[in-house]
Amino acid sequence: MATVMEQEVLTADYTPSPKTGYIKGRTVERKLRPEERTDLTIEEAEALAQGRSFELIDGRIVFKMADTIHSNSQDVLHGELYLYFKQNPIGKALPELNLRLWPESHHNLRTPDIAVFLNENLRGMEKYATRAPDLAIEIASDDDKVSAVFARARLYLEKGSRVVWIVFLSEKRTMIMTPTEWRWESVVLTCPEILPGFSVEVAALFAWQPSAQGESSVAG
Amino acid sequence: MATVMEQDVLTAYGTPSEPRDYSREALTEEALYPEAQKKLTIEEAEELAQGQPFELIDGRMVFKMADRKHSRIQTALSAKLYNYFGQNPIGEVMTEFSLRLWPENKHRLPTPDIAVFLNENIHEEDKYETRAPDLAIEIVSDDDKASAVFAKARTYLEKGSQVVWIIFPSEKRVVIVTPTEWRWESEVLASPELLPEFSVKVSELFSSPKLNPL
Repeated sequence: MATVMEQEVLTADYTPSPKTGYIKGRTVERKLRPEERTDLTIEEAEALAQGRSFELIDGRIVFKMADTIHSNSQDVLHGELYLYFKQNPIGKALPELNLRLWPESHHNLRTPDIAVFLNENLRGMEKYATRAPDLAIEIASDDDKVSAVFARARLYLEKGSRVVWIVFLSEKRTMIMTPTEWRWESVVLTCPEILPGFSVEVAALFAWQPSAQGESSVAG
Repeated sequence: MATVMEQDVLTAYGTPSEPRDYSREALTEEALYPEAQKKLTIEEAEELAQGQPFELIDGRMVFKMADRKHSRIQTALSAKLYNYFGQNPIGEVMTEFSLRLWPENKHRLPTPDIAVFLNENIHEEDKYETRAPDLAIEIVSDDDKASAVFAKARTYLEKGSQVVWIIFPSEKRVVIVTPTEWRWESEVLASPELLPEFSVKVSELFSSPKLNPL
């Protein structure tokens, strides 16, 4: 049975909607806890989060939680991107960056696992990111609902991302989405549109130790 | 006041010094609803289901529920396949056909939304099917977890399916999974090596039959 929270997130479909201040279809008599509220502003959510990674979906705060496998993939991918940009200073890879994609809404923030921006699109965003990244990367956990994962990818594409990668941990595969094409990749991840010369083996995302150090892989 | 569950957790970590309250412990879910905890066998699940389509995943029964979109796609696609096999008698299409893929395991019974068997793989004398269909088709619901959907497709491939179609109504797209390849299809669904000359436009699956009479 879907809880109220899951239902809300699903029906929200990741686009802002007018706020009623109360959970739909329920008379609420007691004072709501902050995490139950659906009218949080970005500032209130930031104060609540105290540095934890979170998203704000139609005024509801959702904390991002990562298990070891998720965190490991994020670390490997971010490390590879960091090294790439060190050699090719054309942009930045920013993990857990809060995106303010709706300038008119104080109730919505999205936080991709990694946001890759080219330098020209970083201008004017020294404090807050107000555009979708050129390449948005999400790592899907086993518990994530398919519809929510794809809705998120569509959102980034609509908001201007040129490429979205969704890493499916359970399948050891990555989905590469562009406005014109969706495809699966299970061998080597590349992104010629945005990152010429960049490549990372998909298997490396699921290896527990970087293979370059000669350690045996213990993941899986 | 700590609930029974909280108390148990605390006891497990050795924090409380007071003795365990066995009278309250008797009221755990396990004691009250033993059937909810038990691993069901196929026979037990069939009796419980009373004809409703269900799946058995490691002893846990999951009823299959179809919303309008899901049901419409399932009907349209199976009707098209049925018509196809009427003209090309090379196989058979079955909906909600439970598969006993693990003869030794009484706790697993996957049920693809649509299963297509070619003639050489249909064994009339067997009441139950023990092989995966040549083509298995699953229609994804919004609530499905990504890992569960893809795990099911992998199971069918491991058990002998040649192709699995995973239909995503929310995306109006289909993932075509074969042992060698995964790809997205948003135009035309076809499987020339399995079903020569069969094809259906993906868009037709997602619109009302009034707009696209069969």
